[in-house]
Amino acid sequence: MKRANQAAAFCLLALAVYISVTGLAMGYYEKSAPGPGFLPFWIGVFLGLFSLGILWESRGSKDEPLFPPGAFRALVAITGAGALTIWLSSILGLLLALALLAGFVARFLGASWSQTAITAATITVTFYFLFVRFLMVSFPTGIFGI
Amino acid sequence: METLSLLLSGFSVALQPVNLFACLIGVIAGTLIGALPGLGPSTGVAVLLPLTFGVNPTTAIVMLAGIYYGAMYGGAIASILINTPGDSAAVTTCLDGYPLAQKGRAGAALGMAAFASFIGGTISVIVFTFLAPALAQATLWFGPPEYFALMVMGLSTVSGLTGKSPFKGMASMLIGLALSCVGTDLVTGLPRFCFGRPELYSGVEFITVALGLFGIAELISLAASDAPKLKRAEVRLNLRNLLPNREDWALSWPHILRGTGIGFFTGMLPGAGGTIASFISYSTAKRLSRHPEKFGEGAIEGVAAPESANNAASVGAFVPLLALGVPGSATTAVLMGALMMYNLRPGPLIFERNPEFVWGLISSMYVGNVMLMLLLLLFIPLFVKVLDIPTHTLVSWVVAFILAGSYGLNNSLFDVGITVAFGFLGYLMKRLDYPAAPLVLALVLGNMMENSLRQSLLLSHGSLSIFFTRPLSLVILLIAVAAVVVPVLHSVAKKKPVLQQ
Amino acid sequence: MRKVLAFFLVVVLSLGMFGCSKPAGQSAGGDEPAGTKYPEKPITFLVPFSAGGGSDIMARAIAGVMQKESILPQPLVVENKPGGSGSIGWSYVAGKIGDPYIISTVSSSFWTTPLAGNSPVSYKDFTPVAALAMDPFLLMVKEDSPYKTLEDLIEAAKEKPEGLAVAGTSGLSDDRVCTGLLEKQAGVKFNFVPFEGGGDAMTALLGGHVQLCWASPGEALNQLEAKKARPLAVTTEERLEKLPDVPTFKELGYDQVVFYQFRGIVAPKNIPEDALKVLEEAFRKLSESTTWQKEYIEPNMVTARYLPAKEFGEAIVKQNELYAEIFKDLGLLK
Repeated sequence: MKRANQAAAFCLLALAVYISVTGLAMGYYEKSAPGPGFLPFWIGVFLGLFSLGILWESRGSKDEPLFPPGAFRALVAITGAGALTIWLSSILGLLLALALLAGFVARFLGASWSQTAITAATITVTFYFLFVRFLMVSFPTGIFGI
Repeated sequence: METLSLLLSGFSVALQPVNLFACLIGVIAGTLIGALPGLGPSTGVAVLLPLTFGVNPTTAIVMLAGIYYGAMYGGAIASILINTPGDSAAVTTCLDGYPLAQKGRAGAALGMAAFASFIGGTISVIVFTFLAPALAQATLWFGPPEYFALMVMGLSTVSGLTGKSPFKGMASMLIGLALSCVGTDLVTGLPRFCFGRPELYSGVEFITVALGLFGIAELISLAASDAPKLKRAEVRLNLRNLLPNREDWALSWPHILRGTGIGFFTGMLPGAGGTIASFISYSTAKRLSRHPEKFGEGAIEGVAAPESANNAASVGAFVPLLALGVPGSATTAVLMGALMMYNLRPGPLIFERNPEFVWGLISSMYVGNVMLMLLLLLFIPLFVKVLDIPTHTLVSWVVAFILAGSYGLNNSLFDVGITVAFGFLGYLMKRLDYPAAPLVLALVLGNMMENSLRQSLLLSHGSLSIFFTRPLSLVILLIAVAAVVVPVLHSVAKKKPVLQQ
Repeated sequence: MRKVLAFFLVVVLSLGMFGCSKPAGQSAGGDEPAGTKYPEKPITFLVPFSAGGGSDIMARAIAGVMQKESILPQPLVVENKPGGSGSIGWSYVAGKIGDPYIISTVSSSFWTTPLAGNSPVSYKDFTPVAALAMDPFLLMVKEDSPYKTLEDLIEAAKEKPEGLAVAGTSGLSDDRVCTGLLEKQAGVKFNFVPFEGGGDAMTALLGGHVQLCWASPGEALNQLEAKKARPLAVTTEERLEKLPDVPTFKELGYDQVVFYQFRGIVAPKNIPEDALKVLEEAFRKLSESTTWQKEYIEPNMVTARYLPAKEFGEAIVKQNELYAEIFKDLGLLK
C-alpha cells in the first residue's frame, strides 16, 4: 500500500502542476471577473498541497500489496472487456457487442457454457426490445444490420 | 378555501379512468426508466412525448409528470441493490442503501426509500397546492451571489463525506472540481481541457462518471471477491424483514421531514435540482445524526434523507415551471416543450386560464405518489430476489445495462468509454481508500459554482462585497463556514484526551 | 486464455446464426441504386442537441406533422446526438456524404460553433434543404423598471458605461450578437453577463439581478401577459403580429439591429439531386400545412419563413458573414 499510495500521490502532484500551468495559460483574470483559468489554477495549487499531505501521511504505513489475489485479473478483465465492447460495436453493432461482453463476463466469473449462452442470448433479446424498440435508443448497428 | 374547491375539482379530473390509467402508465414507465442505470427522467419524458400526441393535454402531462417523479422512486432500486445509480439524483442513495443491502436489509432500505419518497412527494405536493405562487416569488431572490453561496455550502458538506484520510477526501473533491472545468467555458465560449475532442466540449456528464465510479467499480469488487452471491447475510423473506421496523422509523422521520424541506426548496431553484438536493440532505442528516459514524456503513437515515429530498425536488421543480414559466431542470424543460405543443403556456396566468389542467395535474401527483408507494412495496420481495441471482449472471447483466444506459444518455460511444475509464479509476480509488462521493459532489456543483462566481463578479465589477452585503448570500455563506468549522472544533475537543493517552 | 478464445468463437458463431436467421428484408433493400422511389426506408432526423431543446421540439413536431399529413411515404426518425454545442451531431451528419437518409436541424450554433473554432465542420459541409422559421429577439426589462422606452434606456446607458447588466446565454451567442449590434449603433456599452440558458437569464431579470435580457417572442408574450416583464423593442424588420405594440429597433432608428435566428434543415453534401427535390418538396408541403401552423408555428410563436434549398443556401452564407463580422467587431474571435 505504501508504494501504491506514494505513486498515486506523485500522479496527483503531476496532475496538479499540469492543471495549474494550463489554467494560467487560459487567462487568470479578465477585466473585472475571474477568467477561464482562475478556478483551474487554484484547483491545481490545492491538489498539489493535498498530494504532498498524502505523501507525508503514507510515511508510516505498511507495505502490503495493493490488490488482493484475483483482484487485478478482475479489474483488467472487466474494464478491458468494456473497452473492447466499444471497439466491437463498430463491427458487430452495440447490441451484439454488449451480449458478447455479458457472456464473457459471465464465463470469466465461472458460469457454465450453457449459462453463458443463455445470458448472452437473453440480453440480446431483452435489450433489443427494451432499448431499441421501447426506449427508441438508436444503438450503432454492425455487419448484421442490428 | 378556494384552493380546496379547486383541488377537489382537480381530483374529479385526475380520477377519471383515462387519467388514472395515464398516471399509472407514467409512473410505471418512470420507475423502470429510473431503475435503469444511466437513463434518467429527461430522456424518458422526451422519448415518450411523441406517444402522447393526439390525446387530451391534461392526460398527456399527467403521464409525463408521472414519468418524472416515478423515476425518482425507481432510481433508488438500482442504487440499493447493486450500488449503481439509476439516475443522477439517486447517487447519494448508494452510499448507505448498498451497505444496507449487503447486511441483508435490502428490503428495509427499499421500503424506507418508498416511504420516504412518498412522504417527501406528498408533503411537497401539499405545499405546492397552497403556496406555489408565493414560493415562486421567493426563488427570484436567488441571484448569482446567492447561487454561489449555495454551491459553497453544498461543497462544504464534503467535509462530511471524506473517509479515513481527509487529505484523500479533499484530493477526490478537487479532481471532481477539475473535471467540472472540462468543456466550453460559459463566459468566453472557448474550450477548456478538451484535448481537441468535440465530445468534451459540453463537459463531462455527471451520471456517466457516477456509473463508472460506483457501478463498474463495485462490479469489479464483486468479480474479485469470489462470492457466489451478492447477499452477505441470509434473511427470511417475510413481510416484517422486508419493511423498515420501528427503530428505523424512529431514526428516520426527522430526516425525512428535513429532507423534504431541503429537497423542495432546492428543486424550486432553477438549475439546482434533485441531485444537489439529495447531497445536501444526506450530509445534513449525517451532521445532525446522533451516530454520524454509522453513515456510509448502512444507516437507514442515509437512505431516507436523500430519497425524500429528491422526490420533493421533483415536485419543487414544477413551481418555477408553472408559476414563472421558467423551467427549473432538464426534465421540466422537456415538459415545458410539451406544454407549448399543447398550447398551454406556462406562467402565472396558467392558473387562471387552464385551471382544470393545473389542478388536474396537481391532483394526479397525489394519486401518482400513492400508486408508486403501493407498487414499490408490492414488488419489494421481487426486487430483493435480485440479490439471490448468482454473481456471474448478475454482474454480466448489470455491466451490460450500465454500458447500454451510458450510451443511451447521449447516444455516444465516447460516454461509454468515460464510464469504463471511471470504472477503472473508481476501483483503484477504492483500493487506495480515496472516497468517491466527494468527486461526484464536486462534479455536480463545480460548474455552477464557477459560473455564479464569475457572474457575481461581473455584476459587481469585480468587488467581492457583493457576497457579503446581500443578506441572503451572507447567511448562506455563514452556514457554510459553520458547517466546516463546527465539526472540526468538535473533533478537536473530542480528540484531545485520546492524544494524551 | 484458451477458455476465453473458445468462448469468443462459440458466441460469434451462435450470434452469426442469430443474425442470419433474422428476416433479411431490412438489409437487402438499402444497397440497390437509389432508383426513382426515394425514400424507400425511414429517414434519420438527427438533432445535434439534447431532447427538449428548441431544435428537438422543432424536429419532433416536423416528424409528427409529416406523419399526420402523410407528406412522405416513410417516417422521419428523430435521433438526438448532443454535445459540443452541436458539433458532434453536425460532424456525424457531414460525414455521411451522399447519404440522403439523414437530415439535421439548423440553429444559431450551426454558425457560431465553427466560427469559435470548436467544430471540425462548417456550413460548407452540408446541402441546404429548406428554411422553415425565424426567431427574432426582444429586449426585455422588468415590469417596474424605470426605463419605459428604448430611448430612456440608451440615455441611462450613456450616462454610466457598463452600468446596466444584460443577461444572455453564453459569451458567443445570439444574445451576445444582439447586444453587440445595439452597443455599436447606439454608441453605448452594456455589462454582458452570460447565463446557462434562456430560462436562467429570464429568472435573473425577474429577480432584479440584471436590468435587461433578451427573449424569444413566446417568452416575451408570456411575461408581458403576466405583467412581470415588458419588451422595449424587437429585432425584426416589421412589428410582430402577436405583439403589435412593441416597436422594432429599426423604426426607432437602429436599423443595424435587425437579427434573426434561422431554423432550417440540412442534409450531407452530394446527396442525389432527385432526393433533394423530394425533401425540398416535402418541407414546402409541410410549411404550407395548417397542422404545422397549429402545432409548431403558433404555440412556439416563431415567425414562419419558408425558403427553398437555393435561397436557404444563400441565406446561410450571409448569416455566416454576419456572425463573423460581429464577433470580430466585439473582439470575441482571435
